[in-house]
Amino acid sequence: MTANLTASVQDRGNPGERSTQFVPVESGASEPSDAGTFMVAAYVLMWLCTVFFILHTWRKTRSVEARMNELQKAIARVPQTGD
Amino acid sequence: MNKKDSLFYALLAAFSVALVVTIPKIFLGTPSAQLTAGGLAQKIFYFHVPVAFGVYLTGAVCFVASAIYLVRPTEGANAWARAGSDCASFFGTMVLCSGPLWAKKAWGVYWTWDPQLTTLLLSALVYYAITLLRAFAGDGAAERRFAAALGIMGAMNLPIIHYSVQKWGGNHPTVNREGGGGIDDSMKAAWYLGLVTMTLLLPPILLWLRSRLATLQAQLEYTWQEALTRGIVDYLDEHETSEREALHGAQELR
Repeated sequence: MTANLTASVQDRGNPGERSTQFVPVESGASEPSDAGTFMVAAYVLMWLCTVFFILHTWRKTRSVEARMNELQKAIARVPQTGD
Repeated sequence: MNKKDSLFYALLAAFSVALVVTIPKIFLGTPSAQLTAGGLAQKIFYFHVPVAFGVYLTGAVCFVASAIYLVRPTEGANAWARAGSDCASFFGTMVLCSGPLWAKKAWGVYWTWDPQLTTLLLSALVYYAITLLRAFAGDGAAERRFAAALGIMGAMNLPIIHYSVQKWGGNHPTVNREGGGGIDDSMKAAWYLGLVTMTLLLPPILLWLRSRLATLQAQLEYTWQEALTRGIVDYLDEHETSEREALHGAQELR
């Protein structure tokens, strides 16, 4: 296990190194155990951002529409005092 | 339902289907990459890069609409410019959330001053500035022109983000670019699905939603101004409680 951990640290890229291709590997003992956590965290964050953005936009649109209707009704009901 | 609404709901349906297909494909049907690319965390790539393309796309929409607005100011151009900058901020946030998690596994650090990371951060900050300007500085002609000018300046940085890897090096992967070795065939389906879902389908949906909101906010502003001009606000302040509350609510939402 120690050998595997050492290998995984040595295999990891460092700042200054770059990947020029992606090749498939068998997931096995050399895979760091928290890599899956990072992957899931990234997707959860992205989806939370998306859901929040869409819901916020939708709710604000509904709110603006409702206020607009109320305002137009108020304008229609009130006598034209500025004339 | 008009033609535009039908198109929007068709896009939404296509996006939902694409999502249902893409997620299992990435998580279960695509192999991990080599450890130097992050191993299992490399699967972040299938959404991370398409949302980065989303920044380019929505930033380009903001650029075109802003340029049109400066030449010939219209409500439509302003709404699309505002929608473009809002969506570019959103996609920039997605890239900045997902990238560091992948970097931690691939490079061992959450952040490094790599040229592409730095230039993307700068662009995101420009789009955040536009979003904040439009949210807090009002919606007058001067604010709109200033936001449009910023939208054009923000777009100038987009090609620099893309080509910074080739010009200045750094440690960002160059897999699908000049000098790159590409991705393995077993990973291509997930990559293309990610592109379709997050670059082709999501940006038009979000742009449509935000441009509609921007149009409604502008209409609310005009209606509010009309109410002010006709003295209705003063009248309601003195008379009818419920309408007065509606007016003050409208004032907050402008």
